[in-house]
Amino acid sequence: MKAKKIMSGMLAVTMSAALFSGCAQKKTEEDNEVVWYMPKAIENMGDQKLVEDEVNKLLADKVDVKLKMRLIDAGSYDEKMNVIISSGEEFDICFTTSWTNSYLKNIQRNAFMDISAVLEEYGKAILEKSDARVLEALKSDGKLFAIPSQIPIVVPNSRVIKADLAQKYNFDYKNAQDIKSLEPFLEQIKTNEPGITPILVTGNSAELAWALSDRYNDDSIPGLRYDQETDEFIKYYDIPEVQDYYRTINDYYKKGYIAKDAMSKTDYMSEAKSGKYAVLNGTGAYTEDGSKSAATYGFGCAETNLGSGAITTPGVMTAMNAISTNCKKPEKAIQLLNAIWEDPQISNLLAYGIEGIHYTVDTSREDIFSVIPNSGKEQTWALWHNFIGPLWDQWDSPWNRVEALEEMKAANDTAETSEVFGFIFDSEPVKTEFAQVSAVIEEIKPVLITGSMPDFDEYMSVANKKLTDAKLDVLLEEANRQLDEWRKTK
Amino acid sequence: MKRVPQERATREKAAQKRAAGRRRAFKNSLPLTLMALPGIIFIFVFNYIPLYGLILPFKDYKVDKGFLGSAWIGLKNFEFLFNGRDMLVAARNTILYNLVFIFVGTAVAVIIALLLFEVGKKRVKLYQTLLLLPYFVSWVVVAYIVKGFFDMDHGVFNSILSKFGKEPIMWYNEVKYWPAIIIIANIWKGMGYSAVVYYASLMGVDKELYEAAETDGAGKLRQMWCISLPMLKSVIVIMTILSIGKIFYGDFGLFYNLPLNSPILYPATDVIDTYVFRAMMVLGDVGMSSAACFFQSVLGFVLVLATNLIVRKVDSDNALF
Repeated sequence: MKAKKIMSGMLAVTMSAALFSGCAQKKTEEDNEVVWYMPKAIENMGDQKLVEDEVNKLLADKVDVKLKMRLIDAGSYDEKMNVIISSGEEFDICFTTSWTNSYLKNIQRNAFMDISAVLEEYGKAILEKSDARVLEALKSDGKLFAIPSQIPIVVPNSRVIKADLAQKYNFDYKNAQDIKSLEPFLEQIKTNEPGITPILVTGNSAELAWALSDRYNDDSIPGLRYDQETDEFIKYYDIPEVQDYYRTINDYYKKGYIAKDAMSKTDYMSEAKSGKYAVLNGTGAYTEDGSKSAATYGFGCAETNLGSGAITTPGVMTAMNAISTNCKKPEKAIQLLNAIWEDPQISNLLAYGIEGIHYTVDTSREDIFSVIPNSGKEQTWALWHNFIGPLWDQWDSPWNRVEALEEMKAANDTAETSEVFGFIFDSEPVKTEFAQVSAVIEEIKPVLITGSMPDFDEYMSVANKKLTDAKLDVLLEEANRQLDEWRKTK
Repeated sequence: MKRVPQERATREKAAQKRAAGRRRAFKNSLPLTLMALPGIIFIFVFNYIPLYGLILPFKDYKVDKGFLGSAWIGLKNFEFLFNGRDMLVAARNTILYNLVFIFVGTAVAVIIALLLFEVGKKRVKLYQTLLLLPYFVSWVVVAYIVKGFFDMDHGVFNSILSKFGKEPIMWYNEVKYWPAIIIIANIWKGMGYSAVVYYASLMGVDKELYEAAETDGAGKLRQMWCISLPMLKSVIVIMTILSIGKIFYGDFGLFYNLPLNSPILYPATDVIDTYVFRAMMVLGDVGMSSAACFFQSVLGFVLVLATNLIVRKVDSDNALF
């Protein structure tokens, strides 16, 4: 009997220990502390406490809120947030987008709180400074699940050519809009420049930049595109322009303009920086002089602008902050964000860090306040302004010049809107098909992007068969049904 | 009537005796129990407590409603596993590869163990270490070692081919080479570990058996065949039953990294785990991904029971339970 008691006692101890270690919530948090998950902008993030303390000093004068950042490596942000959110951990704010910590995925599983009412009450500065069109577009059934950051909502699509090569072969890159017009240049590179691969694409990269007609926009549903002319969703891979493009890429692959093992390469940026490629994707600058790409890649870039498309729903979801459904103090969270949006002093402190430690004031720019953030090894603090929210309040610096910001704002104001701007697809009714189609797209995309198939038509027919088997048609039908529903509510 | 108190007395006596016996047994086994305790706690915390997650595949999981509050939706989460051809290919690959791993892997490991057993005590440490080393290397690293051989531009094999004036082979674009590459890589990586297990059980065999066999004039091969192998039989059976339990699990590290996740190779490299990973990349549905795991583990569990049943029928001494 004694033995049994001891055993059951031990079991009880281990069980409760396990429970505590597994589920214990951090009760030490102060009531006014707001926990904010954010990906790091640089790897070498130090001085968090220092910056936080400074921010909290400024906040103390305005609101009864304390900021607690939880910074996660950008590379593992998606994965870690997935675990944090699906396990139901209690936190307040997290950064969410269409490309990491997926916004759509999270609203599908009710992970975010409807903040429309709280925002109305505590978020005056946010509402004032936000783009009304974007706020409206993100609402579904009058509910709002995230605060969209100020961002360039249409990103210029551009291609760059290594400047020295463009010059050497006297290539008229400005007029090389169509990828077919690149061929003579690619041919020259292939024959005369042994160390250089003409085109850079990798298995996980975007397509080599090209200009798909503006009538096809909104890529939020896998395998589909919205066609403005017929006003409905259609199958992306059936669009003649798209087929033609991939056929050309396949032709380039066969001619040796693309690396044989392009598909198994995964690090686009390090390939790009190696300087061993002639034609690459641009980095989304507003000025067409290649300066931003040059700064990113580390060599001179000749840039071809390919237009910037229309404002689409996925396009405005590239930087947002949402309140967790398990947040116990949404009003505090909004008060915090509002204070940051209201006061450029705070947002810039949060982004650039502290003067003298993380940046110096640039006295050469006389008329405007400008800073020079530390770079390289010296850089121990940085958060992106557009991840935090108020990008237009950014102090002038090499990150973004005031002129560039002005241009972005102007581009936002003049951009055309897609007919389906504001339509958000609900994958819930067709999640089986959605998952299966996603799997097929993940499979065929790297092959198409790099053109690594022996026979284009044969591959396309196999790919289409796979998409049909995965019930792309069901997805298409549901998308158009929801689109009809959505139109009625407008 | 008179016998009743007497019976009771004997019963009580017997009970006392049993209790004393149990106490003694407990006392004797206490050190062993304590030694096992960390392991037991580990298994309990990581394998038993999470069992409540078994309800997830049957729920439409919503973060705000939590594990218990989310709605039950029956088998809807399992649908994506059973529609579509890709999943069939993945399931076929998973099972076939695992069968090959089990049979060839066991054969290779047993042969190595037998050879190790014949090598002198001094050398055996060296061989063991060399054989075991790959087991501790991550698949990511192995993938790059393999890439060193098969890289299409600068790989060892293509360099050799071009030296002899032959066309280089597009290793990462051609399906046909990959079953062999995967099997060889996996066996190379795992053989040291299993061999050590078999070697350890050979060490436990009574030396007198071999001495007796030798005096009777049995050669080395004869000794292996008639003493070592029969002695290993029960370990082999146990290890096999255990690996059959995992037959629906594809080693994600292996199948994702080794072929560098090249989509053209999927017909030969896609397994259930990599397929589910791909299908869930965009959607990230907790219920659906746990449905896949549920499917894998329940089928594995059933297979373990079935295999054990067969073993028990044929040779009850070697059954696991």
